[in-house]
Amino acid sequence: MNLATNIVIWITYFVGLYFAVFWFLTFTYSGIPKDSVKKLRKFPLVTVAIPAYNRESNVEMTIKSALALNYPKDKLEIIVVDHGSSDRTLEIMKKFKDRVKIISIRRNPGERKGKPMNVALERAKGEFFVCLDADSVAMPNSLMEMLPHMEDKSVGCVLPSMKVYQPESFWSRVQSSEYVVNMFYKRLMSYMNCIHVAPGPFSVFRTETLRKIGGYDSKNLTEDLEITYRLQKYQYKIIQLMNTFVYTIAPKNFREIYRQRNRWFKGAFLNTLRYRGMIFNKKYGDFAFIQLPTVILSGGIAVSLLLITLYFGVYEYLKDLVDMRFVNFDFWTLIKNINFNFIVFDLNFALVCTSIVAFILSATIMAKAFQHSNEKILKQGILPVSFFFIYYYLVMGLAWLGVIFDLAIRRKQTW
Amino acid sequence: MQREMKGKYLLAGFITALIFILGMLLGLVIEGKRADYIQNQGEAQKLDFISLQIQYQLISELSQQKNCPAVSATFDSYLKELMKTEERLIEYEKDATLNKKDFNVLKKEYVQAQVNYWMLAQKTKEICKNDFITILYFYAPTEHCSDCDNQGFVLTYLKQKLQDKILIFSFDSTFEDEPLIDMLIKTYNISEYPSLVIEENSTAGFHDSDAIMAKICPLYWEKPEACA
Repeated sequence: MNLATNIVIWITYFVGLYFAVFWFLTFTYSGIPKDSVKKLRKFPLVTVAIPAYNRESNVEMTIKSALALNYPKDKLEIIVVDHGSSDRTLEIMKKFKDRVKIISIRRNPGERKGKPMNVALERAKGEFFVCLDADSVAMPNSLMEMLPHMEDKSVGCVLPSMKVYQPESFWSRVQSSEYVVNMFYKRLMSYMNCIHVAPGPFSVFRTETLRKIGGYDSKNLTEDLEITYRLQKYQYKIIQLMNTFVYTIAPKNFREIYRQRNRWFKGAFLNTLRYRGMIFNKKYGDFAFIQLPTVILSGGIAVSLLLITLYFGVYEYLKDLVDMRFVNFDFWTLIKNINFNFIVFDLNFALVCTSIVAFILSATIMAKAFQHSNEKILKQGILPVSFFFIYYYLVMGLAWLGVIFDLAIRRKQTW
Repeated sequence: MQREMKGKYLLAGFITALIFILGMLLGLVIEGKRADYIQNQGEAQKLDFISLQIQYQLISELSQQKNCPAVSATFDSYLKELMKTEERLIEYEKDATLNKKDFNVLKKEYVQAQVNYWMLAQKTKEICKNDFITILYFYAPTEHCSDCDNQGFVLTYLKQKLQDKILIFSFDSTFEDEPLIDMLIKTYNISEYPSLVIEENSTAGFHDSDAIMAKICPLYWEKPEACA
């Protein structure tokens, strides 16, 4: 391997290890304090906005969960916005026309979820504005648990903990572990006020704040991330709760995961470039120093790790396979003469040492994440959990590679 | 708050650097141990070679040709061990930092050992009438010779196929610390890489297994099964 490749590998390991150490230190310093339990002293009017585009399979479930919220009905306004669906989404929405406000708008080229959100925001009468994606299920007590945290006027947004809704396929189960670990990280980020995304499922905002900062970007790939960046720019606090849950349907197969993560990562990268003036700007604290650089670097690290794995784990063996053409593909001779010629000095100790440390840190964080989510680590099965821990970085690396490729060829996003 | 913030980042950086430095120091310690290991193997293999030389001398002087098969098997096994250790040495030398000089000295010793084995192999043919073919393989690092990796792969395969019927001695043509290599290169007029010297006849360029078999099969007194 040449010097340049070695340097890339060592930088990847160093940066990856740095982040693992940093978050480990943050966890050690802060612990994970329990959500402060506050009682809601009054019941302000709340608008729950449900934007939907071709969601006939799930929108009914989402609307029902909004209607089932444990909150005075006269203080709850539910607005569902159909964004030009070509399936039965609007027809299903109309089943609830007596209990929710239904808006149907045309979908213009380039428009994304931000558009129906803005339409709902314009009409919202509530003091608080909640986004609920049409593939998510809110728990009845969510508003009662989340709203008290908005009493602090410096808080711009409160987020529930997300879990996968009824994971059945292997890939859904893998993502179930991913969500547990991500929520743990978000809680640490919340402690440092450097959360970078208020996801679609049941993030609670102050309506006035959303209007003040200009509403959603209607053409943004990841409008939820972009609005969070704007909240950070305006220096609002964003709070992640650990014990209030919302369930969301996760992609069921590899193709769906790839498309979802491709959009997320592309959106994160493009939005971070857009807000690049905030990077390393002291005014924005940890958000500027750790979170934004993480978004930019994570793509590089993910792709490096993927390529390193492919080179050592696949290319070397593929090369030998291809070289078999020089020996008439006589596999039998090679199989007959296999001998295990390994001694302990053959190990690359510098690499082994670093890898062991990174493994211990990651395993500890994963164990703590499950502990704090009150979920058994093997709940979704040993295979999905093991896959998540050992191989999931390859899936992320592939998604990032796709992002780099798409950006390089200026591919138009069609999902 | 800013001081606290800065402190966190610096501490994380310090701990990360510490882990890295510890890993690298461990790597350096291991590097020294690797050199010691190869040296110890080399000392043991020198004794093995001396023993072989004496055995062949005894066979010759006492006309004990009936002992040839056993001694030849030992010869082949010792040579295999030598090649394994040399392969390991080449890999260790690539990763070496502080101990590169020590590894170079060890490489010299292994080149000399190979040449010793090659010369002894010629003698055993006279003494024991052993039916094997020797190949001297001259190569250069990948950046100077794109086909050398492939040639090495083919020769490894042939050794597995033909076992003690073929003896292969590999020489890095860019290893300037050992003049023996240069001498062999001049002797056989080697000018490009990879190059093979099959029983005194040199041939340049990459050869797949069929091409090499076509050259060596006619040279056996009794054709091995693989030549059928």
